[in-house]
Amino acid sequence: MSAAPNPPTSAPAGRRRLAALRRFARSRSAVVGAAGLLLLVAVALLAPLVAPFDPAAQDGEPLLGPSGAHLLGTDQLGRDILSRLIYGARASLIAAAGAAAVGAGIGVPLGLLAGYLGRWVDAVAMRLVDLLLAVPGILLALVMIVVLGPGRFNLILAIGIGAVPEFARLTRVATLGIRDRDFVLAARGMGASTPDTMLRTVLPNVLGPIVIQVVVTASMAVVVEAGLAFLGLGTPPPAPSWGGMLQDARSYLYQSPSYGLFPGLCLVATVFCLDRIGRGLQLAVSGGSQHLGTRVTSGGAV
Amino acid sequence: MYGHLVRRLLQFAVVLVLGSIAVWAFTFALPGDPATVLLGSDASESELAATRARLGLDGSIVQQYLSWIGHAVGGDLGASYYSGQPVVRELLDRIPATIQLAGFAMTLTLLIAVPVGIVVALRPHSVAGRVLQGYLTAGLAVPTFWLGLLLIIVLAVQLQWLPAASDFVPIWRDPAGAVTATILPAVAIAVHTSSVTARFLATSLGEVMGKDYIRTARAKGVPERDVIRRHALRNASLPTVTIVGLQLGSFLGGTVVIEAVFNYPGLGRLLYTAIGERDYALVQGGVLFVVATFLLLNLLVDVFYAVLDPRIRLT
Repeated sequence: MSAAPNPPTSAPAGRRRLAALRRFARSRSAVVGAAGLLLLVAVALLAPLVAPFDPAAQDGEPLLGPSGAHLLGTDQLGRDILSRLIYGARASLIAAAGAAAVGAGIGVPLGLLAGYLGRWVDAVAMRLVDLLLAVPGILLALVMIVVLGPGRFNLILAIGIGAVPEFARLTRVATLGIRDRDFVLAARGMGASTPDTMLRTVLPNVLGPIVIQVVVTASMAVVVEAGLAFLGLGTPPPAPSWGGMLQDARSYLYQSPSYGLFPGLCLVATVFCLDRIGRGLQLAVSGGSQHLGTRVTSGGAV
Repeated sequence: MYGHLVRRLLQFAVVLVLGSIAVWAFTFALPGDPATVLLGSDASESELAATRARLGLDGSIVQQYLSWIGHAVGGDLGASYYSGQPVVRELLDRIPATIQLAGFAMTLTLLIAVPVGIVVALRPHSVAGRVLQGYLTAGLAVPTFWLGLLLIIVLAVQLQWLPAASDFVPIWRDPAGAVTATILPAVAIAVHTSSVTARFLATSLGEVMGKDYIRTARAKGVPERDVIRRHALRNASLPTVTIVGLQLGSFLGGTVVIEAVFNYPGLGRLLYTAIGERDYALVQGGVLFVVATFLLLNLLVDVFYAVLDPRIRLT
């Protein structure tokens, strides 16, 4: 993990952050990724303005190929595929943001406590992490959805729980790395309470790897959401989702082979953009050294 | 070495017990009572009580857990609520299919990842290096199940070279048939996992190539091939072993979607169907098996690691 936390230097934090931003901007592929993601967010937000048709309107011939009226064709109910893709971006982005928030919201405090307090807290937290890691992500999400019931919020929770272990481990390692450094000891020596030291002194200095993990988790969540939707357990219909569209496309492979193409391309583009952003952030956080650590952006063998 | 192993074994045991408790407790979190699910809502109270007793759902919570885990250790995971077959029987029926798919996928993963990782690490600016880097980026971005769908569209629907649905053909009975039946899902999985593995290998190999002992080996006149094979690769393979171990573990229960794409009768599909049928006993047994195997694999990887790397042995 080369993304070690930046040691606090004499330079003010603002200037350091600016330098990191500049390093991020210098990486061309990272900027491409960020631009692509911004575009996707804009399209999802402005879906009613951008989409040529109502995504639920069944007003075309079913299973048309791409044509002038329906740029990407129609699905089995005669709904416009392009419009459904545009609205489907919402499902993916909500799952991505939500799962990252859940993962970080639980994992970071867990890792911080484990790393800073050590002893039995560490032992208990890490065994929990080991346990969560032992269930493959998609299986965990499947079981959780069955327990929690379907629905958008439960879906986010189910995917996010699977991201907790990585957040906890990263935060713990980074915390261990700076726990006994002088500036932490100084904060403690000046009478800061333990929660205060953890939140104000330790946390800001372990944020680097966490920010990268947020992006990694988002891209994992996009794939897992699509996989669950493909199994019929994702974003509940009638709201369109890319995974759900792929499930429909699978039933009509012979009649309309092109249908299965487009939702997948959207998934690939989204994951690609997030991957680029992740690498750019890694570059920015590691102080611009060419040497990059690898972070697995794995949705697993979904 | 022994201290390390004992500590690791203890950890394994603790997590395994925690896992069994979590798996067992999961049925209590489920909506609906299994006896009602089994008998329908118009069953009488005495019928329900009899069924609960048969399923081991009466008695105190601690009793229920102890009796469940006691049976589980003895190889009795109860009977499937749906088919009435022993859960162990149902699992054993699917495990060979899952192992075969995992074996194919892992073989392909390594066959792709090792050469790709080496080229990307050693010749990043050559034409081949750039092309393979593109493969790594694409392999990470393409969702496994969509790639599976694409393979079906092109190779099964359009060209009709391979079957669209993959039955389980045991390799020991019909090797050629096994390859045609398993190759598509295995490729779909391996493109992703090989990209992950190759990225890892390339990073650690790149790190190792800058080390002093590589310079020493070159300076004393070791041929470049041997420098890479004997000095660099051996040291760089350590982190990769961990990743491969994790991937192998995730193949066991984590290929649910790809098995659905290809209608492949593996463990993931069994669990997915069981979840849909509210067959709690089967889900419980299956998840317990997946968790236990995953933990065991991880333990083996750690032991293997200690064997490979004396530094770990000595601490």
